[in-house]
Amino acid sequence: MQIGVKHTTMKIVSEYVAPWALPKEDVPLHLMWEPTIGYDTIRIKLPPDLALKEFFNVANYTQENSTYLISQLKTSNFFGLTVASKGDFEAYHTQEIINIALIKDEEEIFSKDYAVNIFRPYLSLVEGPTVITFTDDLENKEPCQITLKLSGFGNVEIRTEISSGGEFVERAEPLYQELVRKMVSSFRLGQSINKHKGIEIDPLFLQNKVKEYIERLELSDFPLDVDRDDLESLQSWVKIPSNRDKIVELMSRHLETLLVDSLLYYFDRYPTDNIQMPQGRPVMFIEKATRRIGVRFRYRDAMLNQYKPVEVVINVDDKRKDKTVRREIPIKIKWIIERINPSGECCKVG
Amino acid sequence: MKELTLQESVVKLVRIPRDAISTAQSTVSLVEQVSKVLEIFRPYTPEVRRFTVDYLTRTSEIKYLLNIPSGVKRITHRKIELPATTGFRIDEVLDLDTTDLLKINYDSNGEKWVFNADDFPNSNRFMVTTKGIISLDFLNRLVAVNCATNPTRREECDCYWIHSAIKDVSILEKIWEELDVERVNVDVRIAVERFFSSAIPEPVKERLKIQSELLDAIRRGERNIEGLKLKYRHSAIKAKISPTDLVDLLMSLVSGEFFSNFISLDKPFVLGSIEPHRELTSFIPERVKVNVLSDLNFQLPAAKGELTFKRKDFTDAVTTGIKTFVPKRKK
Repeated sequence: MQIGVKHTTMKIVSEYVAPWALPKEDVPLHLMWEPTIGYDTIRIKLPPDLALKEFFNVANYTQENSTYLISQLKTSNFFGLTVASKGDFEAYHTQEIINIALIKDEEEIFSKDYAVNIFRPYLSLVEGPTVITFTDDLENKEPCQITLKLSGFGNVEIRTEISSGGEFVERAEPLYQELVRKMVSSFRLGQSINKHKGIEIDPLFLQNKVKEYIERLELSDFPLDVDRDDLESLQSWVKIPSNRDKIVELMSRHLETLLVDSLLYYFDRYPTDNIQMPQGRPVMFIEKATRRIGVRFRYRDAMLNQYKPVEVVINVDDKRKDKTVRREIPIKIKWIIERINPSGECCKVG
Repeated sequence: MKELTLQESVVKLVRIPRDAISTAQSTVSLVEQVSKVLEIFRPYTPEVRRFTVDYLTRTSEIKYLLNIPSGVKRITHRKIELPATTGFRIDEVLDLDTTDLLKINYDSNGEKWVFNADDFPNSNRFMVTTKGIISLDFLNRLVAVNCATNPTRREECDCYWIHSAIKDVSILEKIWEELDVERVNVDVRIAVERFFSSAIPEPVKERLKIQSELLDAIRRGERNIEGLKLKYRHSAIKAKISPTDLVDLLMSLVSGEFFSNFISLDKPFVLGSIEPHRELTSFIPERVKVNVLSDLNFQLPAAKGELTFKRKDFTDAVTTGIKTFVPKRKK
């Protein structure tokens, strides 16, 4: 995306700047001209928010603040660079201008502005309850509905944290959590679960999945918040070769549940096209003496840039007779998507 | 005994451990290695004619023009030895006067390639091709590849920008006349998991929910599960797809053969392999890695363009694929 040619007497063979980028994403740029053009210096003026990552085909250069002066190229008529934005951006879209000039006998024989377009996603709260009431009537429970809006550009991963007075706590991915809980309890108790009529699963598929789980367990590669002691003893138990058969049996016993649950869990994971919620549908728990609940939506883009989270504070009006019973309240999110799509040429599908 | 062709001989000769080559590559720069080869060929006034790097296989090929006239030189420099430490092996020798590929047997003690000038025919000029493996570090210094992390949406397609460029040719300059970096590979990662989620019809989701409930009940040892069983059987009629069928179906939808129908590329990029990616603990393919290839050289030091993924056509195909397992309602 080039904007504004100041003046040029030079024939360009090829020029390019990546048309859009997320904050901190590498943006390549190149310029190639007729080899007959003579020049003394190439001057590149970068805006302060952009950092130079690397040059292509540049032999010698000097730098003064954000201006680079190239005195020699490795082959004469081509050069390129990559830049990336340094910090965070508040706006959905920020345009940064790079000026490139070729200078001969202290005169600009070519000067052109190249625009780097940086886009970010933006999550905001549209509507959320200020108070939630509980009664003993389970049938008539009030849903906790929050409306969130995702605007700007790019896919986001959203993690929900819940606080019931103290710190915000993130829930681990429920599927793995559940798997390891089952495994921990099974191996601790030496528990044998009654055989039941299963749902048929391809033995090869089962074998591969079991292998994968064991490998991952050995690498301690589970995103979990189970008791550390339990996890450590489970890991050492897994490493004993004679326990292999038991693991396979254990895994195969749980696999069909896992398969079904993982498919179901996955439907919750992508509530809309550009949002991923790795924890699945968020749930909050009302415990004894919970007066106020904080729900915090932390989000990041595909470059792992973290943005300011969205927070909702909900007062709890607990009208139940027995307030000691722990109650699970799913959070229903209504999504409003207002996606920006960086411009470019028309769809080129033939 | 059957005479070995040159290629067969080379195959036999590739007994030199790759470690030796990679060690040579990491400690000595490619320029030094090429200089070493040139020094060995020096009696035959070598010229480097073409330098090719295959980015995808991380191999390089250098073509040398050698002058080996019959007569005194052949007698004084009878043996040409190419040590393995140069990182190169001889791939073929072409007689430029007759354009015949020479069938010459090579001797090797496992550490070098040796050929005997006496075995060469009566011609003067020969093209010797050497091949070597190059380090990832070298490739990264030679070319830069970039693509959009997130696509922009145009009508019913997702578009990703792609760019590749020669970064530093000086590491090899002055040695060759032509440089080709072939099959420069940009991996475009298309997240597909999200497309499946919206394409799966309700009866299939419903069946899975009931199946999960039933499994839970069985695990808890509940006795009265006849109602659930009936519900499950009913749901299985409405959605004939089992969880493993569903996983198999999703995997087939991201196979290269099928997925390539939904990809188009701007020139000069061409489509390479397509590899579905699945997390270790996941049953569902999360994303598809599309290899996009371009050739770079002095004339075309940078390639630019876009990859277009026909998002709507793909989600429609997913829905159609799954619907074959969901019987139509009788009117």
